[in-house]
Amino acid sequence: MTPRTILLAPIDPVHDVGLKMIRRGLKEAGHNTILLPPDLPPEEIIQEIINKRADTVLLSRTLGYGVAEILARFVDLADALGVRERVKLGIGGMAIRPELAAELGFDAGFGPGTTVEEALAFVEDREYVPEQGKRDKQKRDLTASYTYAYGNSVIAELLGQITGGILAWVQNKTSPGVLRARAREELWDVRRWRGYGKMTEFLKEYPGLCGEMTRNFYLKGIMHPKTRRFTREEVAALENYVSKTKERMTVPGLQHSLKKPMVFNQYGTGCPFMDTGHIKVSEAWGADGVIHFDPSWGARTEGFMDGFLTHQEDGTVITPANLNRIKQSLEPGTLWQIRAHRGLNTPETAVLAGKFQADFTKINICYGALGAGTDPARMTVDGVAAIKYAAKYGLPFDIVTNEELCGVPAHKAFAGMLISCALGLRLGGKPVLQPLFCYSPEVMVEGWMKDNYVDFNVAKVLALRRIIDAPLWPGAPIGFLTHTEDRIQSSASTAYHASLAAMLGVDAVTIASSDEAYSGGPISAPSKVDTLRAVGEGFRFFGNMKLEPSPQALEWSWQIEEDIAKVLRQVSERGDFVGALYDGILGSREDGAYPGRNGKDTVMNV
Amino acid sequence: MSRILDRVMDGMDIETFIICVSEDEGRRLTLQMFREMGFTDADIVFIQFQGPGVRVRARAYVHRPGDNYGWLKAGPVEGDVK
Amino acid sequence: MKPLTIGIAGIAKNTGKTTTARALLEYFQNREISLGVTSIGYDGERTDNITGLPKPRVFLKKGNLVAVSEKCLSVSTARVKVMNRMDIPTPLGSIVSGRVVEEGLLVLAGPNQSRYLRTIRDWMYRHGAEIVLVDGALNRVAPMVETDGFILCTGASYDTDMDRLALETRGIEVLCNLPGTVEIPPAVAAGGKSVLWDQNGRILAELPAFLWEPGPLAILNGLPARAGGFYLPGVISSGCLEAIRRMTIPAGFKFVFENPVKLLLGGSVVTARLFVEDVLERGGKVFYRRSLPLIAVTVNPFYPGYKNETCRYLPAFVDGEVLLSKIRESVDVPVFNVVKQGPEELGGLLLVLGRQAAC
Repeated sequence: MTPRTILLAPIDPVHDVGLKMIRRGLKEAGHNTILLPPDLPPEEIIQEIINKRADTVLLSRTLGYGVAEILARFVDLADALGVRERVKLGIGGMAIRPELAAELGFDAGFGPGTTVEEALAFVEDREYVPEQGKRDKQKRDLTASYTYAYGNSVIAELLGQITGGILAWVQNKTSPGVLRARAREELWDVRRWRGYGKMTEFLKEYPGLCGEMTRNFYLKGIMHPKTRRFTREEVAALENYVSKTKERMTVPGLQHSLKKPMVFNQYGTGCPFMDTGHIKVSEAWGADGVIHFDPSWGARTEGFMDGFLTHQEDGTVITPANLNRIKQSLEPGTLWQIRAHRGLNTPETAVLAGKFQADFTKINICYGALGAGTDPARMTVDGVAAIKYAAKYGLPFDIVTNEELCGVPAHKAFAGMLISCALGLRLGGKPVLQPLFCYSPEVMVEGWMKDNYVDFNVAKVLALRRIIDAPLWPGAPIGFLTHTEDRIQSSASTAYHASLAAMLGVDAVTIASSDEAYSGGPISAPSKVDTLRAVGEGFRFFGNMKLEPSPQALEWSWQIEEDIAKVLRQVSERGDFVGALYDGILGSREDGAYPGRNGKDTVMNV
Repeated sequence: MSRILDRVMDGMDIETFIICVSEDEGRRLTLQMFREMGFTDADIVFIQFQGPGVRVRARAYVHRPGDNYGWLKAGPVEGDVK
Repeated sequence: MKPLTIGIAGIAKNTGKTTTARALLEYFQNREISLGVTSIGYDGERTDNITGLPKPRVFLKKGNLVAVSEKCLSVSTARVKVMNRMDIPTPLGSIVSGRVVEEGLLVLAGPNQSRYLRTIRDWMYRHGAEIVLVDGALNRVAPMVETDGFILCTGASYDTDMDRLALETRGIEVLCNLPGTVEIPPAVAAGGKSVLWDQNGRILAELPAFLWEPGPLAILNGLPARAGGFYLPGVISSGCLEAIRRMTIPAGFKFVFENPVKLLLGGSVVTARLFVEDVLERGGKVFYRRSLPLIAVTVNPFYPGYKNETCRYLPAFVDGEVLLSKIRESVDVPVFNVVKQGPEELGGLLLVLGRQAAC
């Protein structure tokens, strides 16, 4: 590429920073640049173009009344002097758009947010292609670089004993959930389903394995009272909306110069249409992945309905048709998580997540049993089955520790998380640890976050890192219970937590929307944008800075590690994992954890 | 009875997300929306377009500095506690 | 009728270029005259790019020719069959030329350089255009040199002081219509520089084409009687013209400029006019190599009034009747308010011009 000579002329009374930044970029690309003093009259700029034999002229000017005429006169002069024919003219500044550049007689117009690359492409006569990654995000396996080697041999050994016990216990047990998952796995073919093929075998078996509500749906056509099917017109309109929006989509990243964390956003308004709208907004404002939230009754219901269904309350119903539509609306680089973790449909959700090619699922036996209302025995049988399916489909799964929100201390929740993790590893899966970054009841009561929200969260990460070399994905969402209904406070808090996560080098974070704390209705699109923008700003602010843990954080981390080992020893000594759940070793009634009753007495011996 | 709007100190912001195909369209629709709501002195504080539409913060001034401020002379409005 | 290219230029933004263009388009289309339409800028916004006030678009009937940026077609309601993709870049895509196949509103954005206007005009003539209308942009005049003459849109948006506006308008008229055209010795025109020559056509001195500072003009001081003329292909600043006015000039000495635009762009129209009148009065001569006649003036009483309280532009007007009569008093060419008078007289004038050109 022959070096070009570019004249940069600010027509404002002061130098424009944007112009200077572009100049730096042009110089770095090997071009000759001449930056003129500000506010020269058009004649003098033309004189300079002639004297310096410039190939390209970049002017910058803030637009106001009367300014357009000055710029137009500049173009006229260049034209009348024959300069226009051999010099390219670009104009940049606030409020400059291509239409305005055309009106003024320029060759290009650069508005706010113009990148150096854009200006460089103009100078070098290239078509401007937005940065790699802007249009085209590549999916990345966040578990890839981890060995899952234990750094704490005591804990490793205890986990070995406990998981051995669990696997032996579940060996001759099954449940309606496990049987449905097997039917879904063996008798339900996603390709045939997509082609409207008959599912006779599946439909013969499946309704009998479901609870009353779902059985009524299949056998009598009765819908759940809060759900309805979409009309044909609505579906056509959605398809049209998605394809039109996809044409306009760009998918920026939030990470600035960072490689990680990836940023996940939840959706689940109840309506797959609204979800689709929200997902496109999340993607367009930089989310790397989205997480499907199903309604709370979904965890208490045996079996899934089918059809493209909307739901009038929080949480979007899992049906094959809903998942299929949502999958089709995603950009190719968007990561997609379908949560299986907590209820009576856990293994079947893992199967559906696999069949619809989700990128992650979510499974945690202890949380499901102690914080989400599922019977511990049932949750254990179903959890192990779910982990097996996740492993079969190569689906990494995170192990969320939301029991902390019920009041369970972090070390107990972590002990439970490590048990699910160890099960995952024994069964060939790819677990991801999900410590909460939150203002949990435990720290409120103990006063551990009186001074800052940093130390205790850092302690959690340090402790887990010492125990095992595994991916970390704080959630879910980060900053839980620090958020208020105010969007500024809420976005700021999320951004700080995300920045802390980034400085600790974790792999991903799940973020809330700025109306997370509002309970009067579903989250809104502007609230999603607010938090995503705030997180991007946090990453921009701290860049690659690392965090030096405070002595307090270090001390707490040792304490957490030690306490985890104690809990695991108690579980191991109890010799019966389900019994340990009932006994409160992994979270007691005093803490705020209650063994669930959903699916009680449904575990069957084979 | 005074209008409740008289009690607005200066401006009123609307924060929303509008589905549209360009920033220009988003601007136009936002200002049109304000006009439909009866506000003539409206402007866009912030707008960002990405594929699905615009995140917009739009403002209607009820009282500009130097105006006659309704809230200085406001009488009771409906629903006021007497 | 010989094909004719008419430009519509403005003395400033918002002086009624598009209104004039629309009026003329309506007039010609009602008479089924085959039109070619293009623009040297962009004029399709529903609202003005700077003031945010509403702007009209142009309506085109089936059969007329257009040359616009690619992106205009997708936002126009008129359907255009593209006949030629021209290698003319603009910020809104390359220029395409074609024929309207379904009537409707058209967003006009055209080439941004004079030389491209030439290409487009020739293409339109080849495809049967009888009149090519070139819509202007802002206060731009340079590309008008490719037209056979132009209509100047003047109005309060340039200056709400009607006397100053009249003076400026008259200045433009003098610069465009007073000097005649002349041939210059071939050697003089060859180098693309400013040249002082003697009565035998021999070059006495060469100066830069663009005269911004009066310094180099010192050689014109105390010119010998044999000096024949001074040719300036580029633009000359008002300062230089002032400097020349202070010099003595031999009787019959010719100042030859490339075209009126070179004087219009020098800075002050009033100064340039004084220069022309002064030289003529002192027995000198002013010529162009190529003319650019001002055909008519249209007036527009509108201006964007800035309201401080709201920081907004609001439509405002000066007295239209007073404006019309003041401009009529000051210039010799016909003056119209097309909004009030309609396009008949202005359109008729152009048709007469076309017939005269054919003779």
